[in-house]
Amino acid sequence: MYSVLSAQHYTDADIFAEEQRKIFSTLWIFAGCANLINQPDAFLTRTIADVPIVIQNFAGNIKAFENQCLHRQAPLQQETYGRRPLACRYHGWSYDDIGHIKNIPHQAALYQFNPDAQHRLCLREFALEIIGNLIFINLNQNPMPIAQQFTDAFREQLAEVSAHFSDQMIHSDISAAYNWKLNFENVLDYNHVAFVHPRSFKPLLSSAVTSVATEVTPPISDTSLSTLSFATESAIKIESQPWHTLVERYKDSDSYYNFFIYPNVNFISLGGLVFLIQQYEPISPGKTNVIFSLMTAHEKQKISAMPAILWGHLKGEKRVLDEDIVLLEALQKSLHAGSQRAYHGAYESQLQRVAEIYSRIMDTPT
Amino acid sequence: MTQRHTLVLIGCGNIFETIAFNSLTFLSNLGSSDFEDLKLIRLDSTDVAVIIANEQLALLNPATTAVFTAIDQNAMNYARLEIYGRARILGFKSKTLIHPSAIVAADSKVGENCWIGAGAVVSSGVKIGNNTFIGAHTRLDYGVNISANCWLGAGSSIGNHTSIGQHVVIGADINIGSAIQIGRHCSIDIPGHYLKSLAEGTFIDALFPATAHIYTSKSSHKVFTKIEVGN
Repeated sequence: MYSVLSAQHYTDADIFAEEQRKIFSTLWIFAGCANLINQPDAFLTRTIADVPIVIQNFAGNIKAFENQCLHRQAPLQQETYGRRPLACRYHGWSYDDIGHIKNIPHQAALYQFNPDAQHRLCLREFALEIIGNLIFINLNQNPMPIAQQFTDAFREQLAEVSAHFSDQMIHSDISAAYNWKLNFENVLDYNHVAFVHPRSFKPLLSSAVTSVATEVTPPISDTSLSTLSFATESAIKIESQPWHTLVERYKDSDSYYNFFIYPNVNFISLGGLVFLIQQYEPISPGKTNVIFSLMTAHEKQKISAMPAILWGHLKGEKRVLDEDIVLLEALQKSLHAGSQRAYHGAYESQLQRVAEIYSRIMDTPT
Repeated sequence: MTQRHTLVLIGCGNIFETIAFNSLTFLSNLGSSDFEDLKLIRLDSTDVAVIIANEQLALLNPATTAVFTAIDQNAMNYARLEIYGRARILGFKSKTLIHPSAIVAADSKVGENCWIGAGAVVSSGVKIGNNTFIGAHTRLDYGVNISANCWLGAGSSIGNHTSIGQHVVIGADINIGSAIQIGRHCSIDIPGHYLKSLAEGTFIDALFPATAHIYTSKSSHKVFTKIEVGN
């Protein structure tokens, strides 16, 4: 059957702007890993729907604010992950855990704000939920309950798997010239692996998928938002490495765990030993920033070679992504106003569901 | 009567083959007549290297054998460290090999199991930690500190008083400026000039258009300060 989405959904600037409002400013969006900001003054930064965000640890209290100083709009924090108090590097304004001004250097001499006016200044705060070690942000001032987007069972799965994250993570941004939706659809489309990754990824799979799953969970008739985020598990070949016995593995089987977190995250784990969070950050209709965050399972003891292990795995995952990028960039380039809609088969029921629910969200009046 | 020793060359890759091919030259360049024999242990790969190394080294007498481990940069030099470390645990002494055409200042300090390639220039005041390999035609300027377990590719250069942390990989034809710090576990593999310090766990690689970083829960971006030089 034909997809409800047209080529314009992947190329049109107005539709992209609408997505930024109705999807990325309305849904819960993954923003980073809590285990990396578990120390006082630790922080992470992220941009969601063009809004710069800082997530800061205030003595154990994790808060999300707009990452923009109220004085002259400079970013309060600049690194992706780091550790320093919430203070602007431009003129030294600092902030407390409710976003109020903590201190303005030379206030009396240079600024001469009256105390009431200064007290009214406050950073814009955003709703934040932490599931296990995964931090989600909602930009909406009246955010939907997170249970509406992720079922209780799914949140429990995310909490359980992310509890195994190590405290070291390798991180990189990769720019790609295609629409963000193409990447989320691509990871839902398990049939592409044999064609696009015949040497890099397919050999790891224990068996090729050549038939449609007889039981689709959740049922295809269910088109609630929470059905778009779910987990799967399939057998995979894992070559044993000495360090595997030195980490607290998630579960205990040679499985490929796949967590689809709508709208723009694919979180995978190889055997519960290595975890990769891929996020597809929309930049423009034809540009996506693919954010890679990779870590191993938590170390039982210090593994000196961990940086080399992380770097080796990151390079391997990037080579797989590059194979997707070549194809998806060509796909994006070929789209035009008169392109026919995608024609889905039975195995693509999840893609159909994504398209239908996406359309419903986009058709909802603001 | 002086006891004559054997030098064992163990490893695989370009440096191993270079030394093996020119073994007589290197034996004579060790500066003494202590070594009468060179024994090669060629590993097929680094995958099971430590197992093979254990088996082979167990057949040798540490009292009369010195070992040089030659494995190109692999897993940020942990592969070479594993074999070199195993040999040391088994009681073998390690040697450093310097190509006859390299120029090494008399007051520089070079650790054990180091390799200084052909045409390399090691200036006055330079310190090089254990198990660090310096590629052909590399230039280390005055006062440079290179920590243990590093790899400097052929044709690279390091400016005055620059410090390089442990397990750093610097690819070929890369120029690092003066008085800067490269934190441990960095990898720079795009040829060019680098004039700013890099935090530990920074990766500059053609595979990634943007720099990759390792972050930890403790803090971000520590830059190393300690230099270790072997006896």
